[in-house]
Amino acid sequence: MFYNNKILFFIILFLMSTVLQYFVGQQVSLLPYIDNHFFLLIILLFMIITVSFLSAVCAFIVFYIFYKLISVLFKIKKDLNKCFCVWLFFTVFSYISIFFIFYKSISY
Amino acid sequence: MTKKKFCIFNINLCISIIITLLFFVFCVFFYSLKTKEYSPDAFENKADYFFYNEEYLNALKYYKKIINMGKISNKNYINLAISAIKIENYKMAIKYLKLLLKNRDDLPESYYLLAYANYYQLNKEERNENNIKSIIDYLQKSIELNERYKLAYSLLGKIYEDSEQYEHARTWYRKALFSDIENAEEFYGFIANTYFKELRFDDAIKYYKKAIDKNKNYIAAYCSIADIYTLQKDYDKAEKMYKQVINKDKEYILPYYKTGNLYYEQGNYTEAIKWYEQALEINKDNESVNYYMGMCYKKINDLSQALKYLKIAAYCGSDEAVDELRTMLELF
Repeated sequence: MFYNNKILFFIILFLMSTVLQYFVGQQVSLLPYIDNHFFLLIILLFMIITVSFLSAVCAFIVFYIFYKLISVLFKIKKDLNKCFCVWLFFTVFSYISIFFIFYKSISY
Repeated sequence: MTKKKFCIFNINLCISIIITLLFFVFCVFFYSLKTKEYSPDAFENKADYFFYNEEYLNALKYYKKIINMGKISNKNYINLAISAIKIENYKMAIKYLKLLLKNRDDLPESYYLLAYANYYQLNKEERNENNIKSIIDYLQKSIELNERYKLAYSLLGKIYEDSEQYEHARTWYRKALFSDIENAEEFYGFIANTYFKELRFDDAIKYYKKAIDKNKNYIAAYCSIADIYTLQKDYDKAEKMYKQVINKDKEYILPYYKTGNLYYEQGNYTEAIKWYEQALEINKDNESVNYYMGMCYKKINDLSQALKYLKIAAYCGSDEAVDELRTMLELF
């Protein structure tokens, strides 16, 4: 689920950041020293990836603890695909952070 | 290990793309819902509120939004440009002023602001004749539209003053006076300042006195005349002028401080202290007054008092006081 093709996901993330950059630029580029849109795009992309990755790792840790607890209680032997889980959380949090930034940039 | 092929019919990919598209649709829907809430009139009130409270960044944000929403008026463009200039975003000011000039080219303010933004956007090194020519053209256009528009005259004069062409500067200031402009005393003051910069003190005094004739409460002229007398070491006349300023405005710290300096320069430290004390009654955190107060006490060998005032001056940001304290601590 959610872009097993990781390069495709990052391309879409980049495109979404480009759109987002326009809305953020409307509010941020009022100051004279923030008028480089490419720089703004890079910052946005970096911010989205970092925040989503950290959130994904945290969410995964919580999820893993619960999974372990449940597997002990119900004696489930199936092991968890950790990389897949982190990736799934990462993609979900990327969308959430994009929406959050979008919401903030269109709020007056 | 076999490499996975990229397939458009991959169910995983299809679901992902559908979710992404749904996300897009949701964002667009949310955006249209959010913008429907906004009314240009409410935004205009907010923008004006921020503008008149000198919160220029917020004012700029709202004026830009109003113009993007299609509520176009001269006032909004002019206020947007002023807000942009206030936060030193000259590029944005120029962009919107040029847009305004496309619709209305008969507003002297817009030409003046365009000249102002263009001038201050240039670094000091970039202010050469070629760059300044277009700026001067804008200002002349502004004066053509309103020959009593004093800001345009004063900026023209200032541009020439900055490039040390004082005769040209005076020509524009005189033109302003011929146009029967408001606050003529300011322009007499500007002319006097150019003479002051050229060290032509007699001419400077003549024009400062003309400024005073126009407005008896024009304190800057009194202070400048006193400064000239101080430079000429005519301390009695300088003190008289400062006393006249004190009579006009008792809460103005400068004449007390400057009179103190007159006595300090003459080596009469006890008399200087009296004047500095009066200055400190008006503002006890003035770094220069505290510094000179400390220096006076140092000269009369009252080191504990000297340290007290120099410390205050250093705390208020005086570099000279810091150096003086360092020297004093090294000595003891």
